[in-house]
Order: sequence, then C-alpha cells, then structure tokens
Amino acid sequence: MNLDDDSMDPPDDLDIPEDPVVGRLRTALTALADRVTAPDDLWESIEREGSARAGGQQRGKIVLAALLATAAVIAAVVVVRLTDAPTPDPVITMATEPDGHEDGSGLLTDTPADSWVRLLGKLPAGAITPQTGLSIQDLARARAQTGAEPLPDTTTEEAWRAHSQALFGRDDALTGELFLPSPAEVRAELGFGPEQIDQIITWGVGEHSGYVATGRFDPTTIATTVAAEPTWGPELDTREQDGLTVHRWSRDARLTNKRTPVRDLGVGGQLIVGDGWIAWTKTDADVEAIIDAFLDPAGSLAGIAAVRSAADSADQAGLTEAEILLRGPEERSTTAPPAPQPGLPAIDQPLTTSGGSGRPSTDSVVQFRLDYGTEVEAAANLAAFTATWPAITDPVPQVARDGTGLVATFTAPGALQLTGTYADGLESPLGFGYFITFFNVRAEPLDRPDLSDSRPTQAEILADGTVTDDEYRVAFWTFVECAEEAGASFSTITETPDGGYFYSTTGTQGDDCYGQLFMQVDMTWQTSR
Amino acid sequence: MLTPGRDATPGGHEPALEVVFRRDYARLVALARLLIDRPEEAEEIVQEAFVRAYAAGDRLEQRDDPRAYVQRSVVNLARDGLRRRRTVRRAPVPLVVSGDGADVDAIGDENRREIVAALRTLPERQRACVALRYLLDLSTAETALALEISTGAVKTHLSRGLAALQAALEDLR
Repeated sequence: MNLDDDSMDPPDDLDIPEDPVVGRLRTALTALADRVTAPDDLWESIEREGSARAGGQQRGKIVLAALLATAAVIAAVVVVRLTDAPTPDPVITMATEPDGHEDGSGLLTDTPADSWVRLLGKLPAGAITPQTGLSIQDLARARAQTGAEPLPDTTTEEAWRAHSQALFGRDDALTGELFLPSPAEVRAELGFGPEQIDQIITWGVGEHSGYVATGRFDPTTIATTVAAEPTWGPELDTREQDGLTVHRWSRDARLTNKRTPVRDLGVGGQLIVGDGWIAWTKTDADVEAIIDAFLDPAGSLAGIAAVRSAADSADQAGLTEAEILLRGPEERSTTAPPAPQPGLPAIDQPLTTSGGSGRPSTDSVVQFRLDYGTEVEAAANLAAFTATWPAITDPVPQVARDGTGLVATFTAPGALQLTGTYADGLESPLGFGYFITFFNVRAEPLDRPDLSDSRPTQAEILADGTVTDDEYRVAFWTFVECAEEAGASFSTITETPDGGYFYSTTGTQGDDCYGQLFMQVDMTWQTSR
Repeated sequence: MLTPGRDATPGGHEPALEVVFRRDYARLVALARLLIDRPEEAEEIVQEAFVRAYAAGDRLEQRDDPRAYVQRSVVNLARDGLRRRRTVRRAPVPLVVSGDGADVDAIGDENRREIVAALRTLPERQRACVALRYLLDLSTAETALALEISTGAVKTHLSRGLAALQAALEDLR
C-alpha cells in the first residue's frame, strides 16, 4: 500500500486526538531540543558558505563536531574547512594515459586500465572526508567471481536484493539511485543500465554526493536518451568540456517535485560522460572538481597516498568491494585516542581505515587495513594491530605490514561472520558487509548461549520490570536465532564494552523477530543505563 | 535588492532565514537526530539545509517560505543519507554506543528517554510525521508540505505512529 497516494487519504474527520501520549511526547521532544545550542558564530559561517555557493566560488564545507563533554551537556564546535582531505602527493612525472589525456602527476602510470587506483583518479581529493567515506564496488569482478546471472529488465527491489546477495554476499550492497530502480527504468532515464557498470565509487552525502563508474557506456545512446526523456529532457543543458560531455539538468541540487525512478528526490542532477566512464552528481562545483581531478590526478583521490594504498591493496587482494574511511591530520592531532580494551596495547590513530571482501578463488577473502603516514609509524603499531586478532583461529588471519599499511587478511571457504568486541570512542562502527570497525578492537568469537531449553518471552522477562544482563543476552540471541531462521544474515555482531550488542544484518527477513522477541527488552535494558 | 536568503519580516528588518535559524535551529537538529541513524551528523545536515537555503537566495524568496524550505531540506537530506547507509545499523545501537546515547541520557528523565527510544523504533515516515508535528509544532498541512505527501497520508502516518508509541509505552509498564 502506498501511503503517500492521495487516493488512500482517510476521511477528513479522522483527526488525531490529543491523547496522553502526545503530552508526554511533546515534553520529551522539547527536552531533546533544549539540549542543542548553536555556537555563536554558526550563522556567520552559514552566511559565508551560502554566499560562496551562491557566487559559485570555491566551496568550503561546514563541519560540526559535537563534543559530548558530559552526559548532560552537549557542546558543539564548528570548523569551517576549505579542503577536506590531506594535501595530495607532489607531482612526480609526466605521462600519457590510455584515457586519452595527459596525466601530469604520473600517479596512474603503469596502472592497469581497470585498476581501482585509476578509478580513484576520477574523483577529487575532497570526495573523501572524515565524515563521509568511500565505497568501491567492482561489479565486473564480482560477476566473474560468482557467475551471477544478469538482472531482468523488470527487476523489483526484492530481485535487486537477491542479485546483491549473489554478487557480494549481502543483499543490500546495491542501493541508491542507480540500483533501486529496475534496469529498464535506469536505461530509459539515463541511456545506460546498471548491467553496463563495471566499477563504481559511491561518495559523499546529501548535496555533495554521487557516483563515478567505469563501464561499457555508449555516449551517443546516453545523449539521445537523456534528450528524449519526458520529465527532465526539457530542462537538459548539454555541453562539451575538456573532451567530456556534461549533461546538466539543474544547478546545485535544487529540490523539485519531479520525481522519477532515478531521481527519487526530485533533483535533476548532472551526468559527466567520458570514454568508458561516467560520473553522476548534483552541483556545478562538484562537476568542475571531478573534471579537474580527471585532468590532473594529483588533485584526485589517487593523489592521497593513504587512500591510494588502501584501494590498491584491496584491488590486489581480489576484493569485490571495499570501504575507505579517512582520518585527517587535524583529527589525529586534536582527538584523544580511545582507551584500549583491557589487555590490548594502545594503537595510534591511522590516516585511513579500510576493508572489504571478495571471492577471488573458492575461498572468500576478507581484508582489514590501517594506513599511516610513514612506514616507521606503521611498523611501530604493528604489534598493537597484531594483538587484535589472536582469538580468531578459524581461520587464522594473516597479519602483516605492507608499506605504510597494516593488513589483516582472512581466507575461509564460504561467508565469514566476524564477531568481537570493540573499543572505539571516536566514531560509530561501520558495519558494512563483512567489515567491522577494527580500530583498537579485540576480535574474538562471541559465545552464543544455549537456547535449546528455554526461551523466555519478553513479557516473562519484563514481568518484574527489570532486565538483567543475562536476560538481555538471552533475548538478543533468541532474536538472532529467529531472524536467521527467517533468512536474515548477520554479517557482524559485536559486543559493546557495556554489554550491549552492535549488529549488522541485511534485508528485512527477521524484522518481525525484533519486535516479537527483543524490542521491549532492548528498550528497557538500554533506558535503564 | 535583497541579499541572498534575506527578506524583511513584517514590521521588522531581520532577514527571514536568520530568523528561522535563531528560532528553529535546535529543534531542527533534534528532528534530524530522530530521523537519521548517525545522530552525530544531525548538525551537519541542518547546517547544510541552511547553507542551501541561503545560497538559493532570490529563488527561495520567490518560490518558497524559508522555514518550509529548510524543513523539507532537513527531511530530504536525512532521508538521502539514510538510503546511502541502509546497511549500517539497526535500531538498538544509537542509545548505547554513539554520541546519541549521551544525548538521550541528557534528557534526564526515564519517561522521556522511553518516549524517544520508542519513537526511534517507528518506521521512517511515521517517525518523521510525529517529529514534525510534535517537535516542530507543524500543522497537518505543513507536515505534508515538508514531507511532500498528502495531508491524508500525514494523518494516517500520525495515527499509526501514535498508536505504535502508545502500545510500546504500555508494554513497558
């Protein structure tokens, strides 16, 4: 049922009564808002940034880091940044690239045409920030590794999930504007289908976000299709720039009500079409930045050594997807490291954390990596990194230093489920695919309680109004077991330092289990702390 | 000539968008925290919405009410971010491990914490309707405008959301 459909409107006389829960709700929400304070200079920062964008000047980015000084006070610090990423490596040599343009940086020289580093060379360095990482997916490799069948044109979201599961071992790896619609819908709107995409980077959030993809694209078909597309075609503005074609439907992510299968937020977007690659984004500034990066990879993501190393490492390991998170120099110098887990040596914060998975042979490979600024720094942290993994014995991870990186590689037949405890303190766990936050982690198998005899209901657990840690644990694993029986897959389950659980699951199978077996217990346990 | 994002309020000279900022910033951040799964990004979403509104300048003045524009932007930015991170996490985490835990603790009353925790378990659209209506005090029509859905759909989502909240809270007793 589509609740947003006017035809489903209830009668006008069905108004919402001000029942007792509303009064409590208003009080609680007011209290939530009352804890938020705007720093004095925030409005001035917004004016500056807004003026810069309106004038098409170099954009900055407002980043607010919330500091929770105490449990009762929330303070906020606003940092206005003109650049989001470390300074790229200096220019090295001049070379001519297969893409048909000169690469003054030499960063892409001798890299294969389908290398992930070359993919990085098409996005500006500012595409990765400490707040928004990168997601790289190699669909061509995943298709080759798994032999998954192409999707039919009339693919539903359910079929997308099955396809995602077949390619990447999880059913929500393929989401977003280019994957949620059916291939036929994408093709009708943009002139290419998702089956033509070989590699793709998903970057950013909100207005400054998008995709860069390599693949088998036909610029003529794209140009013809986008011009004829009935909803957005009339607003199309196409230009040639630096050997690329830029299709532009709107400036700077203007929101409209013209929603289509691809533009589900009503933002026209902009599409750059090159030789064997496309970029889909939303603002003029980002289009210019992407073109600049393409023309001079020294200013691209490939110019950030730690990012390049992380991507290259995953690529060389035959992974089919990886995530890369950045921690810039500012964060390294201003953020106190978290307290290590008991028994773990302290570890310095890396420049990047990354990881991913693939199936380059009959075995699955999962790889985690930290990258530091220097080899000396990496070597100094190898022992602490190695101490993360000894409890994992099946399979035993291979841990090594690779230049400025520290790498843990797991090889195992079938899918690998990792569980463990973490002490993070800096950022939320990532939870994507087979990747847990491993920064200062103790990775070890979690014991599942034996649930064969008794499985108390939520009502039984809550009968005395309290939830003990043991009851919480049993209820959680009862929920997990129920969800797994319903077809859900838990790629990560980690135990938080206070005895709670972080988990990442895919799909909607088992959603009912959460409500039936765990939600009330979970809420009671959490709110009692 | 008005500067971007500025307009005269009735009887005054304050720029309209700044008035919205001064008046609604805290509630919009609270709204974003309720809508996204990484509450620490709430401030960034709200700031982005204001920057976007400011940059919209004359276009905003001519076509839209600044407050409605910002509200709609916050909802859409939160939704956009959620879609991108759909794999990341499910319900139980925010109250325990992120900054949001301290945030909710800061509410300071167990009843209120229960309400907010229960609100977070609602489906996205129901949660948005409830938050817009009872946090920002929007009318049904204004809520519909912010979410770009019909008023009937707002009523349906509100009705179901409140019923679910009521049930969840009763179960806790």
